[in-house]
Amino acid sequence: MTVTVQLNDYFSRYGAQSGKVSLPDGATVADLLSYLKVPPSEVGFVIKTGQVLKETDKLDDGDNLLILPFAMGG
Amino acid sequence: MLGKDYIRVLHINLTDEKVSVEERKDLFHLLGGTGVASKLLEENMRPDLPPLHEDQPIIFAIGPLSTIFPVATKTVATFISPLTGEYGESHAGGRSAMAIRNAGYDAIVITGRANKPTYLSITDHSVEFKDARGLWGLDVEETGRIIREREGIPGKRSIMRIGVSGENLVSFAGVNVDTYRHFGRLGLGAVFGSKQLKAIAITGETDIPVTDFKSYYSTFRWLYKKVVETDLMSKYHEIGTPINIKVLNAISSLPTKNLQQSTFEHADDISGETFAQDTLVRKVSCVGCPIGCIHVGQFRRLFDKGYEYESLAVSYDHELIYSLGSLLGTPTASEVLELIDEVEETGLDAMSTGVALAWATEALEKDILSIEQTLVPLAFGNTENYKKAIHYIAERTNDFYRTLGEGLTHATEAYGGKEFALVYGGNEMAGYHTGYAFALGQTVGGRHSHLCNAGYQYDQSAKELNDEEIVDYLIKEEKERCMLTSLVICLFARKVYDRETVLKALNAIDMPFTDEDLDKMAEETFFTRLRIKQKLGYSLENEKFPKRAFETPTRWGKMDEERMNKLLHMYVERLKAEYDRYSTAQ
Repeated sequence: MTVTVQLNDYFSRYGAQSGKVSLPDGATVADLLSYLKVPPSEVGFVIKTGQVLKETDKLDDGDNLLILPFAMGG
Repeated sequence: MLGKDYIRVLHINLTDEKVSVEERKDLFHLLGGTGVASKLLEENMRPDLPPLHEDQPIIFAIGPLSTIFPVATKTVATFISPLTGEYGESHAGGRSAMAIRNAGYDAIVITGRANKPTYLSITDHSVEFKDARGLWGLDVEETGRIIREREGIPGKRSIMRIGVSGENLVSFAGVNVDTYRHFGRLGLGAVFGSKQLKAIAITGETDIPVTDFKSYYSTFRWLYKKVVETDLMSKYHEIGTPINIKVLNAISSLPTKNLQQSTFEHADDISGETFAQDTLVRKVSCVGCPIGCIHVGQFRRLFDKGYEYESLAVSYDHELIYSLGSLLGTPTASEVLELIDEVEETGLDAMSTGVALAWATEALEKDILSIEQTLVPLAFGNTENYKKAIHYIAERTNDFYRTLGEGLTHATEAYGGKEFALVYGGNEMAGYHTGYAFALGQTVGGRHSHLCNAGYQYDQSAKELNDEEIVDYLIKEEKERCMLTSLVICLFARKVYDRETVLKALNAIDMPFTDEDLDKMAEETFFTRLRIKQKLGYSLENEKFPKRAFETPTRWGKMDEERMNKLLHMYVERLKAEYDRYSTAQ
């Protein structure tokens, strides 16, 4: 399946880029982050149509996903 | 405290211009910062007198790591807050900690009231009371420029100063420190104003004794690498905290238009990315920090007909973009910078100012207020009118702005509209409508700041909400932060300064503290703050949450008011039990 990923600028430090990603059927959010080589501890939110997904949630072909860090402060 | 076993305290009385120094061995175990400043406040405050009475003190304290280890940059100020009427604590960096250290002091206590506008010039060999009548009425920038020219010593001195809002005793006036940093929250600027204290310039050349230089230097190098060669802090340099705008907007946590919304249609236009791409001209640091988290943006302003423009630069971060941006419906980065500039010049706290104006805007919409009171038709997104209103607050132009300048709690008592006044614990809301832990955390925090216990972090990282866990988290985090802000490190570096690192750093400067010592001082400081609040008549049990907080979705959906009140009750009961245990053990 293919999903479209929009990564926040924060993740550019890991070399990950926005775009289409091909994953095996049944892949989860955790699989996607592993593919992107983004440390899960740095990922605040993976959002699909306004909903925050869990790491164990399965992805569907054609998903549009927004990946964001945590909001930070002191 | 370095190379000695006591805290060196400078006492300054503005009334009779007397100065004394004392050496306090009994405070040494509290490290410095919050620990020492809270204790000195408790000793010197007068609970029977109002916050702006001349006998009330201002305390400044630095810590053992200040200046000599990376990112130990902050000075802690304590005072009685004119905004809340109870414990006031605010932190600022810039050159302040270095300057106090070089002047040879660990803490400064200022009492009394000068008989004319005055600024203090403090060095390692003198304290001078200088005539500030010519500075009274000047804005923050002009005041800083004149004192810089008079005092000289560029780069090695710190200048703390107030604007007209502090002179006029606005309850949320702040103190500007070295242009880009501030004792922003809870009204220290008004306390300065009440003492006719326009500014403090401080510098010195005191040697810093380090007994085992080899150990110190190797620890410094190790810590420096941890700061600059790991991912722990680089995020604060890159886009910095304004990266939050897009994040919070995506998870319905960005307070917008007086929290009538938690997403903003112009979020992309005022995002950290937009600020960086369109306005960023410089990144600067506090002394002793290699990060460069202070983002300076530039905008241009028409000052006369005929295409006469000037360019101005001001620092920005998440809280300012929230309070003067999304909360006021400000649609562009340039306009947010314009509002920041007005707040800077008048010396107001940006967060309280933005929240107060957002409330006034909605109150005007609802006909609770009239244009005769607000003087201009305040409307979300109308930057020009907000710029005027900022000056009306600072100058206390009419009865309405005089009352608004007392803070939203006072304003809603006079005019109503409490249900949509974004106030937690008497302090105007910070920029994270993330959920229960934030709302409870700002309410119960010792200084009613989101930084007391970082509830907004719990709201974001929790897999599911657990009420017991929220209460545990807030208490544990606040105690640890009592220790960190006694060192005094910048809280951006809290992940660098884990316990192992703190102990290693203290040992390297011949302060052989143990983990248990840190636990004890953290707890003592936590309860000192609580005791001060009690002495000043404050009780958590009287706290109420704004209705608006329950009407607008958070990252977890809409909060339930009943659950929130139960959480507060749980927190209070837990605190009582902990305080009883602590008191019994003493």
